[in-house]
Amino acid sequence: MNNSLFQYIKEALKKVVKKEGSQNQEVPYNFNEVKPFTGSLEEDIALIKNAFKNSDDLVIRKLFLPTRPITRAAVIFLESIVNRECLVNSVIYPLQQGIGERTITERGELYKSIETIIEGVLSNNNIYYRKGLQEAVADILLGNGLLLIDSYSGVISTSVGKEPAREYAEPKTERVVRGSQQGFVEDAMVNLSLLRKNLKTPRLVSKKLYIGRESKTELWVVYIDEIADNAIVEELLKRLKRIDVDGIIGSNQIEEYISDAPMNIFNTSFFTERPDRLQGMLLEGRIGMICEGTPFASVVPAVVADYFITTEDYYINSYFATFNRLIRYLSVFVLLFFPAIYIAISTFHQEMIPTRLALTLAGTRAGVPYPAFVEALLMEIAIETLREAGTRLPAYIGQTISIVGALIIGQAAVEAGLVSPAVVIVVATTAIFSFTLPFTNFNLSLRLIRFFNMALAATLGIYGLMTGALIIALNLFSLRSLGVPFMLPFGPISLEDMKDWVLRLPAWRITRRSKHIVKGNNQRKSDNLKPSPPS
Amino acid sequence: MKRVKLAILIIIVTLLTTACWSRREIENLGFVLGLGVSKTETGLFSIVAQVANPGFFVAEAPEQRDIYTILKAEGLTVFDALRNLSMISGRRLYLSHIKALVINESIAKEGIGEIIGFLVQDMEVRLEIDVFVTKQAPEEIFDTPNTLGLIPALVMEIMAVNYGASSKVYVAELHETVEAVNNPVINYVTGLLEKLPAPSENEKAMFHLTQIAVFDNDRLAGYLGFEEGQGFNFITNNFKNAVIVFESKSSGDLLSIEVLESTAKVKPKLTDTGVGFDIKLKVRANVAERVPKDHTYWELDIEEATLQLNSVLEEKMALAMKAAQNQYQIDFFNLSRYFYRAYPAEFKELKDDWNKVFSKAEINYEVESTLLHSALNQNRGRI
Repeated sequence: MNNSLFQYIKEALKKVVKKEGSQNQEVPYNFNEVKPFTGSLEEDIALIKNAFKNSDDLVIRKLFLPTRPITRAAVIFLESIVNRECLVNSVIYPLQQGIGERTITERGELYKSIETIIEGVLSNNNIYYRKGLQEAVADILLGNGLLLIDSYSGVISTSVGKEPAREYAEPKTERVVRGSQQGFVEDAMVNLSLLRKNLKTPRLVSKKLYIGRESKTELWVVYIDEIADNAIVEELLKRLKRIDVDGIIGSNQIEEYISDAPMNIFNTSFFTERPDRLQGMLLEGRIGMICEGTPFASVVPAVVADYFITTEDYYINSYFATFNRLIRYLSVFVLLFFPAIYIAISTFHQEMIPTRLALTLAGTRAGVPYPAFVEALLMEIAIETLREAGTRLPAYIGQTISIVGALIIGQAAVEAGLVSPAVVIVVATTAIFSFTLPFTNFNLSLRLIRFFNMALAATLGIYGLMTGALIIALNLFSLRSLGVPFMLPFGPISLEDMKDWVLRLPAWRITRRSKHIVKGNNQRKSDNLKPSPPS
Repeated sequence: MKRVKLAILIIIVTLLTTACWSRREIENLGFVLGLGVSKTETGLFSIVAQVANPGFFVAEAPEQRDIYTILKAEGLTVFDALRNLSMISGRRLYLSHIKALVINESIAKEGIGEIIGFLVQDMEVRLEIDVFVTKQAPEEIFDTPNTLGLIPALVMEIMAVNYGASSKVYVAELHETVEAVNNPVINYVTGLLEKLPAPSENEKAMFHLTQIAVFDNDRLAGYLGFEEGQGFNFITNNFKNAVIVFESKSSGDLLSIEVLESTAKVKPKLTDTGVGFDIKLKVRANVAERVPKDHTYWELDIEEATLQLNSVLEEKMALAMKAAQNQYQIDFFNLSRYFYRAYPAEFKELKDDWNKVFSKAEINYEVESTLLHSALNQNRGRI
């Protein structure tokens, strides 16, 4: 009986989850397709450009080879991941400038065929002859330069990739223990190269825009074609193109210009300073914006679940990661409501407190000269000031501030009877819970709303608190990020998305992209990846 | 923008005009934990409130007598007396945390209806308050510093919660009192609280729940002893994990039986001769202790012990029933409820005279007990 009931519930749940995923059909994409080059320079260039979906960091350098008659050629490479010096010295210079040192007969010999060019002219260390488009594209993605020569059916791949160097920064706001220690830097091109190294697909599209009449800030919009929803991409580009300003300072300003709800206290975009995080989000169908001068990439559309996820979650045991996430969800409620609840029940609803706790609260508050609300407000402002002071000061003084502020002043205030120990506990607990949330705009908005809740609680008690909670909920549920519901996966509720966004199930269970963000291409991986012992 | 401004204005005005209506800071409340009611010789109500001293409550090692204050005032009604209390208390008395209501015997004999009325009508008072009857003055009962470090009213609450360990007494909560007062057929029992003198020189005086006070509707009629108390708790399904002791017939050993679970099912019947009740008691118990006679060791005959337990339980119930039917002629078991459910039409006629009908009722007992475990190893009982 028990067993059958359990079975029934399991089946029912399966149906619910299945229903959501069932429309997601895999778009066939053949990675092994071999397209031969035609031999016509224009056609071959178009072929490669198409393969890269007209990405703006794909550079095509056309040149003339000094044969008789002159042969047209082109070098194609990804600007972000090649070593330009090497490219010029070992490919372009020999092809063009090396002429003067040779006699005409020598030249005739050297430029006779592709083989002779490879052997005699190019001074690059590793050179391959490629016939198929796929191989050629893969070479470009590895940082190679591709030499196309008119009327030769085939291309020459030259190794001009960047030497692996740690030119990236260490992520400061999203630190992890086990994961990569790579972070974005101010140079957009470096950031793009980090991304290109993680995502070696020609479908990673990069579009370059210049924003700002005077500043001409470089902005790269990156997304994965056929995963990201084209409508969202077009909408984003449309919004970006209408930004007509004199200058842009950092990516947050751009986020403000393209927001769906510009006046709202919550931002509807997300930022990260980790290439692996951005990589993961692009694979989910998001669109990244890399702005010159900001070591953070902005991501749209953002959903509320993003603000509860840290990259660390994917580097540790899935059970523990889930536990951590649930703590973060709890933190939001503590951060928003704990001081407010303290005020409400200690000034309006004393009957709700267990008797002994009520007596303890009354005992510790005896002699405190102001009402509970003023007391809590003062302490909350004090702790926010401490936080701000700690952030602004250099790291080694920041430590001192927390010791002086939290320990000495806190202790003295309690001993002098200026504040009650209970409110210190409440404020400190709230602060600690708030620090479990990753550093995001969402977190900052919640901190502000806490004061609003406290005021409501002080005037109307629990009734006011519930009103506040309703206002926040209604506000959040009305938000959109580029047309995608901000409160995903809670509103509209989506069990499939909760697998990855609320819980963190093992990697083999997260097989689909959210149907609210991605239209069509939802299958991320095959459904039967669960490892099992060999039968 | 205009609408936003208007919305902000409305919010600000709303918040400011509430003016923190009914706001009261927690430290300004006088937490009343116990309330005692008695009557003065002149017929005024005398109210005793046990108010906590939170400042001493949180102190590291407070003097036991400092953690509470006892206030006393008189008035024409209970409410009047309470308001008179605030003239001396200084703090606004806060009734939501009352744990114990102590009613003096003299008032209980006259009927508790007039004091309960206020407690029901006041919105701060909760109906979970434990009600005690006392023969001593309430202020004396409340002034009992104890070594638990607790305010006496809190100790009373703990005692009321733990009555099941012996199940010899019963402590009712205020909602039961209210029900009994409002309904003339329903009768009521609760515990009699006495303050015993200190057992030894350095010890302090202590509370003791000595008897069950029996009410005829809302008037105190008399008391029940421990044996009758257990019988009462069996019949009314209030028996918790208490111990029953009897002497084994065959071996002469003393057996302590710990009851784990007891359920009584009452079946009313209406015959030509009158009203009758079949009480079917099911008990699951353990043998918890065995005191062997002459230090000899016998194998315990579970079957025999079970049978004997049945008859012991039956005797206890019969004893309680005898007190109800013969001594007081009050249906304090409230068997009328079972009867009303089975024969609503007939009950209407018998209602006014129910106690008399009840005292002539024929009661049949059927006890079915199960001894789950002997709880004794080989050496136990052999010593």
